Amino acid sequence: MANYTVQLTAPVGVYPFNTVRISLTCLGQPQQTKDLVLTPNVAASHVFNIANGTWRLQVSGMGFVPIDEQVVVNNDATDIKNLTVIYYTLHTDRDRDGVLDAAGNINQISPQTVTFGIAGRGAIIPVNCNRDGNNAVVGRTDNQDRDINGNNDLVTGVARLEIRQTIVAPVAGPAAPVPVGWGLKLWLGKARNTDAAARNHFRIFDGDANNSVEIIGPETADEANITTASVGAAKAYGIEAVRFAGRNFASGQGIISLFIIQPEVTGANNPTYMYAERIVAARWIGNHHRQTVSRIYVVDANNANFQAALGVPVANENPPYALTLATPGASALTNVPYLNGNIWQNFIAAGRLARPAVSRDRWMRDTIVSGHSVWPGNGAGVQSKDAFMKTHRWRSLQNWIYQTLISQNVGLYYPAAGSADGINDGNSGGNIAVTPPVQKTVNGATTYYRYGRIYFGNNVQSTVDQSSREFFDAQNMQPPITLDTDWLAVGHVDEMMTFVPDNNPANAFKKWKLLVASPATAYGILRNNRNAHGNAPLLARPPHSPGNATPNFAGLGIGNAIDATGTITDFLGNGQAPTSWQDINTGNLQNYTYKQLRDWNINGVEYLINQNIRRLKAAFDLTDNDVIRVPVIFIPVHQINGNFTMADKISFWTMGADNGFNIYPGRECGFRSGAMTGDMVNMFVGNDKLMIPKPFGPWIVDNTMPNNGHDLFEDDIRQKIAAIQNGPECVFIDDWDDYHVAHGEIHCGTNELRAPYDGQTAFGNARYANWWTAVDA
Amino acid sequence: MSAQSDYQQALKDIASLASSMEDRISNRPAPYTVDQIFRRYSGTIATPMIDDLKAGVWKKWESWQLGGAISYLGSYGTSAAVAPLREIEQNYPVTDIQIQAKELADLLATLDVAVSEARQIPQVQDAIKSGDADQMARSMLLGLAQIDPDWPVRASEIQTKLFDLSADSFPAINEMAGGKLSQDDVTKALVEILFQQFLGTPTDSQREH
Repeated sequence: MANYTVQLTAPVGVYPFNTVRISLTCLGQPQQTKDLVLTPNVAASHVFNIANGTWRLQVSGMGFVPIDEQVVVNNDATDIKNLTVIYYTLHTDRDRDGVLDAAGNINQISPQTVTFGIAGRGAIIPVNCNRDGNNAVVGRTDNQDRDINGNNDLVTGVARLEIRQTIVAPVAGPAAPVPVGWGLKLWLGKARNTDAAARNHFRIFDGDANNSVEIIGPETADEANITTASVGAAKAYGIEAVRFAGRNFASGQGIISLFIIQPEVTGANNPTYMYAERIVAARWIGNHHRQTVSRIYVVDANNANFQAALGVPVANENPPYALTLATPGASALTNVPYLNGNIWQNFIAAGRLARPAVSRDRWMRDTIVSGHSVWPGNGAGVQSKDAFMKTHRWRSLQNWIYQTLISQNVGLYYPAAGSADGINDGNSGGNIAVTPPVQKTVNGATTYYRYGRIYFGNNVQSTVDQSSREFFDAQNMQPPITLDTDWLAVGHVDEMMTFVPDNNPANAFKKWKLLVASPATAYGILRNNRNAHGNAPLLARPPHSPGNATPNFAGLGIGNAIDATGTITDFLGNGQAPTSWQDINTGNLQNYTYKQLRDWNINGVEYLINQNIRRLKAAFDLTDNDVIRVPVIFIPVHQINGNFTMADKISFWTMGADNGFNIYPGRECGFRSGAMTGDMVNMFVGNDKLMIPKPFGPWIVDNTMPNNGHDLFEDDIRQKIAAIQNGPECVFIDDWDDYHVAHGEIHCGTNELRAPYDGQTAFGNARYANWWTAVDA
Repeated sequence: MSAQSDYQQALKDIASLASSMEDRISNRPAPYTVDQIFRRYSGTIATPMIDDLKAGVWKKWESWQLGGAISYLGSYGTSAAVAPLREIEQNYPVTDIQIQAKELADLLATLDVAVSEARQIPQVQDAIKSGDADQMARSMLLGLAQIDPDWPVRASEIQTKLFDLSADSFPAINEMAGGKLSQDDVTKALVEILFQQFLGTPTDSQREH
């Protein structure tokens, strides 16, 4: 027997390992083991009393390069070993400064939770939904293929993570090499049990070069084995988000784990230790009207006059921006990609049979919702990208959207792609809008919505699909406000309200006015002018005014009437209106009197608009002084079948439904309606101009004025906007033939890019420059 | 016009309506407008529609059209519609349509038994023989009340609430009327107000309940 002493010295340094096991084995002899806890640069030893012979000495421990050698024991001896530490760590930009951070704690997930605010933690991963390099299949964005798409993509759309090797050399002699049996494994897991597999949401590439390919993600797997040789001293990997938070991904988060496998410690394929990082997809932010317009879009749809009229104020906007003509009529059918399991397939909206046929679908607003997405970048500054949300609508304009609009500068994301959600008119950009920054004070406690709040109509008839609503909710940035647009035949919020800038209030959360359509205001103007201008016509192009070359009033068609012209006296009288609504039950046109129309507008439509204002008042601090009422008269378009109750009646004293006119619009037996006069609130809010649909309200002839007269409805809104000091300029555009008669207006026919809001300036604190520091959750 | 030709005409009307909306901001009719077109033909087209659904036409229909058809069958559907509705429930790709089809199929599946049982009731048989609409409606409702234990419960709930509203209103009315009205007068007036569409001059086709 001999006293065989094994003396171990751990290297000098700071590393998270301190334990090794010494094992001595010899044929015919019992195995000898000893666990030693080491202190850097301090020798520790253990004496084994073992038989003489040839023994196998093994020293192993997490992070330590193992020793495995034969020793011949003849008599007492001391075997001195200086150990090498080699370990691997995982790095992300946890603190969101654009630079990869030090590793977190071993065998823990860092941070413990994803947080936001000034000390927020958790790397933000860009949703790479633009199209760099053009090497993806047409219609697909960069995150819908397996590759990194060019050098620009590397900068703007792909974040980094890095595996780093640390070697701590022994106290004497050269460092040992990395053992050949050591292995690494990257694993992507979900952060919340209710989320679908994280690899459906994030993609990790095999490097950070142009054309690096997916190793973890939708089309590969949720883990990848990585050799130590490929890592060397350090290796960076690109990572992008495939989707924004939403359905099956409510958390928006994932967990990346690096498992280090030392077979001599934990056996083959079993992790020995790990480093893990929480990541979170960048958020989508819907744009509001306090953000500066940087581009306007309109569809080329046999609407040359409208394009020309719109081009004039656009050309004079301050700050200026360009106008882009969309050409769906010349855009071939384009596939809409969606991820089905782990395969990208072509989506056909549930309940539709094919891709929409090519046409000049002019409704630019309704196909997409203007927004943007921002993330911290890779050290070259914060990266911001315009990103439209594709609404769950199925019209030919989407061919142009997928073929042309998606580009290096413009991204697109379709929350409902692949869903079983049905199409509804409510799933339209005209029904999805964002308030400017607002606040809500309750019992002295104030909640600030620095990015505004999304609002949309979602009731019984007009609804927004579940996927899109889950998408809005999951962004957790602009909590939605639900309004009732059932009373409108189209059912979009832009038909009844909009926000315009007002720079004057000191309160950063009140720098706007809310414009709402108001039949009561319209009829009030008529009443106030009945005596002086009773014969002034509505719904007619005035003589020799733009769009009318004749010396006479040219009647306008609406509500099944070829010429719906009527005077102020007519509109305030009891006679038969020339307009009608179609009873689908019989196919017949149903006439009505001006009195029926008037009472229904003032007591029915106005009530429902006021009801929506009350909903807004409950959602944020809104007073009547913040509201500008805009004269608009509505007409019934068609009727909803069903049974009405007392609560649906406009007047209890009127017998029955009065053929629909005594029922609140949007209820059973009531009408769904549309604007009769130009719906001025359905305007395009530019930088210093409001591009407003001409109302064709009562026209007062005055040959001393340009166009030989003026429109009382135009006068009304112009005066109210003029009361906003340094407010925007009103520009009235005739969109009647191209949009109004098809139940839309200028806002419906346009869309835009807007620069991100300068929160730092607006709210006076650098914290509000970026969303991840601005928000608390 | 045969039921089949009526049905085909309804489909043409629907296609025509959809076509007329092509350029509008809403380019498809709402399901309830499709339902309204089908209802122009009352219940006559239910049979050819159900046959069409059995033949799988629903696979070629967009959701707005199928939704309207199912709404129509909510009034005029028979137990024959259960099988195609179950197919729609299981195979049509739109969640809302699946739910709509399931609810209607569940309801219609109970019809066979209820109808055959109610038809055995002598009062119902007499009413059918009479051909009198009022008598038929009353007898058939009471027949359903007899065979469906939930029916009297639901009817009682309505009655109780109506009596409660009358009783709660009576003290004020009594004071205003100086004791000239009884509570029965108030209850009668309440019924007339709430159901005036059915009790008054039938100038208005809409129902109030």
